[in-house]
Amino acid sequence: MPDLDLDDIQGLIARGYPDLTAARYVLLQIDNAAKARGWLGGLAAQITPGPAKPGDIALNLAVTASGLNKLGLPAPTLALFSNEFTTGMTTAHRRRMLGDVGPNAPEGWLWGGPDTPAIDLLLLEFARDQTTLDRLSATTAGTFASGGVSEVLRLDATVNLDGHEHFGFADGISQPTIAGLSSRMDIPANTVQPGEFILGYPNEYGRYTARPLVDSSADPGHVLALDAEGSGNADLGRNGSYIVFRQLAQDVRAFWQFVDQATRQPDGSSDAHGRTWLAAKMVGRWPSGAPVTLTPDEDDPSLATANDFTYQYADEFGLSCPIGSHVRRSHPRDSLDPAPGTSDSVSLDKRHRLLRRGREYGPPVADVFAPAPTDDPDRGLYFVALAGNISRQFEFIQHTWVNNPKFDRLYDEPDPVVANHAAIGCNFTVPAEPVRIRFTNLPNFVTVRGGGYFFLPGIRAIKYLAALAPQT
Amino acid sequence: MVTTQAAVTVMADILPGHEAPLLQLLETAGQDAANNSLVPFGKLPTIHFARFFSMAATQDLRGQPLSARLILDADVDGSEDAFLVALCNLASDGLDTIYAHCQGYPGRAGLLDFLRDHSIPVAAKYVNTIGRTVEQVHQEAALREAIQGYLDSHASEWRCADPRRVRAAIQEFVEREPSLAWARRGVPPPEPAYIFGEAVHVALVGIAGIVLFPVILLGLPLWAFLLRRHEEADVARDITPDDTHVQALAAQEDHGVQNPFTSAGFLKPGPFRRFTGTVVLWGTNVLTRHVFNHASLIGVKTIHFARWIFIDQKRRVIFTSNYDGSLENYMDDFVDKIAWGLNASFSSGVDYPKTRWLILDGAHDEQVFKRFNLNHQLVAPFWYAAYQGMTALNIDNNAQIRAGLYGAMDETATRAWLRRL
Repeated sequence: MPDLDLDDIQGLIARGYPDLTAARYVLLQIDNAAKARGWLGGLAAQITPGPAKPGDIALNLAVTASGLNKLGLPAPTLALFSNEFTTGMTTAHRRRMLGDVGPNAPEGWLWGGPDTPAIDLLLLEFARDQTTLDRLSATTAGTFASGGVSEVLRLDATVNLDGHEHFGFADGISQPTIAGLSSRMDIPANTVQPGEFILGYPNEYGRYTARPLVDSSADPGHVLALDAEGSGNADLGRNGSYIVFRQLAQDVRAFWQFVDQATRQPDGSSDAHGRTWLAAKMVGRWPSGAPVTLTPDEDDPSLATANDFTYQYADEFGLSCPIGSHVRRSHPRDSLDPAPGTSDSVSLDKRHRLLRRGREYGPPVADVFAPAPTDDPDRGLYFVALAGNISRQFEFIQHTWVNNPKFDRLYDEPDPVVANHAAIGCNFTVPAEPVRIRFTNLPNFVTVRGGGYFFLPGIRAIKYLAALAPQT
Repeated sequence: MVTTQAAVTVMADILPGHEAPLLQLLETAGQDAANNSLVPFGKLPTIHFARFFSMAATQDLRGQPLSARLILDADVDGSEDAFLVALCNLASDGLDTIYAHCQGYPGRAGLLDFLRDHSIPVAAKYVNTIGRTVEQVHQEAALREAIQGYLDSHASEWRCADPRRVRAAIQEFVEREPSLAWARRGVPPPEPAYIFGEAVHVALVGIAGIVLFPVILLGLPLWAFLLRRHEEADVARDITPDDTHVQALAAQEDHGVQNPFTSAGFLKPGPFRRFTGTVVLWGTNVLTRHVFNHASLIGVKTIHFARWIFIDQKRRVIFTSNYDGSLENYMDDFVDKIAWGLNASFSSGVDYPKTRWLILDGAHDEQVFKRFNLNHQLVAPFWYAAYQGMTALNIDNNAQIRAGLYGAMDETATRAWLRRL
């Protein structure tokens, strides 16, 4: 079990900074490569690293393929990054795979789409409160002009919903524990090899995920660590990760009005318990976070953070937690082939995990049953996930599990909460005795408003990029 | 009456210089594989899947030229010849246009004979469920749809009902529907002649095994020795797939639930590899015919049809399949579940990731294996699927719903049957 080089890992991999409740994501473009390299060199010292919990602020930096190109990374080296990263989130095939069609099409995105400015860099800023965050942002923004970069868009993620997301459900409970990263002990089924999230370490196949290795002659200053596999090359990817960043707008009113309508009593009146029950079945957890698998009929706040459960033996047919529910299909645990209920299936599940680091944005809805005001602000989730292998982890989950109307043995049921229901019809089955309760034609609740794939470099890699020779 | 499924393969040489116009023709038709004006596969109700694809002109491992090829690959109900006849009756104009680009094509009058002459046998084939026809797939899907609609419209009646009462109500509903009259008859069991025929085949295989047992026993150590010698000498180049090629493959993927997979490669040279490859595929064919013939290929349940074909005097192998889900998922499925099976059937291929003892290593190197696949994959510009939108699991579930609709069932079995809906 190789030791993790925590000092070189950016802090965002180790923690989501839960105490720093104010956050802002600043999308930047590079205007002058030489100045931008200098700017990176200066910034490297301020990047929050892995080891200790930060004080009042945290700062992390990610880069796009366009950004690496502008910084002067030679094209053959850029080609060594993953294909998903270099070709981007909005290729024709990827749109189909990710469900970015119709209302989710990149043409309508606020950022990251073909009709919006190219993005080269991403600054992730975190602070203890709004005032401190604004001060941090102002300070860093003051360095942009001389640093040859300019702001494309700033995304504020400062709303505090006390650990909940906008539909009203506790979020972020199920996170994989990275073996060797934290001293916290976790069950083996939830402990994942570091290579799944940090490049340069063994992954769940016991191999090293592909990462950009450069000839040692391209690193005369020995800034980078050497390839742990022993090739003698310098590992530009080591201690780095890929970031999947998507802005997911949530139609909170549509969600609650749907579950309300679908559970009306025979006399037409609303059933407050019934609609919360249906919403919980769709999500897979109650609003408190209690898993529907463990408490199928009523919320139970004492189980709010429960995460040590499996599906196969207690709930094979989905009578507690429907097969199609959001948490079950985005993290199936032991319930899928090759051998449901056994460690083989758990091993398979561990190869498709994400480390989530996102934040909510936009003001909460005061009354979900009142009509929306004309100037209703956008709200939702800045979905930020880290993975060593975008294709096997994020894209697989999105395509084969979440957006797949055929997930497990289903026919026409993509994720009832987050999938693109405008693109394909969405039904939702709640297994029951003697026979299922089925809801049909779910409206759309989540719309993609922006997105991109980023590379979160190790800190040495940032210094390496800062020292790149100018491309003539 | 069991209607078995045939794996039809027709291969013709493409005239030099005709590769590009032929590809253009196929791509255009492929945009509407069911109803295009060239070969409207959708009008033949016995076709499960069909594709046209081409292989570029190349050289074998000794530098001998191999001409460009056009392959028609179809999974059909009934016999191969009946299919070729029906296809010619349906689309002789379109086929004439296509095969005019091929060597030795005698013209419209000789079309059927040309197809028959250029028809090649498969070394091994896999059929998800032998005997299930296209008609059965469509019918059983319609049955499930109808039952679901019925259950939805009477939802409040079922909440506390006895499961057997629910099943009885469903039976009564089906009785009342004229369009579902066919469902009131169960699936007819296979006729004795078929069962006998299959049993004879197994028996012959068994007898051959017994007769050859001493030979096998004596030959095994020699074979194992040669195997390790070959494996140690193998050079497996791990080539980064060409980006344009990856994009071209991606462009044809994930337009629906099902995807075609088409690949070809050279066999490692030498009689040992040809012998081993032949035996492995022969064994595969026995297993897929008698063991893995209902819904699962050693645990992989997402494949509708697959085949392995030797061409060019066993210098090359073609592998094609029709499967559910994304390519990434398909490859992960195999790597995670039956890497040993992949190793056995493909390790004779040049540049396959190195194996030990035929079944170890190889595909377990997930990233190298995926690159190998990408390098050997071909685009299928014209691909038809008769029941897009249904996975193999869906189809099997529909069949189980139909099979369990009538007949005596205890309460446990009834509950299990109702869970399928």
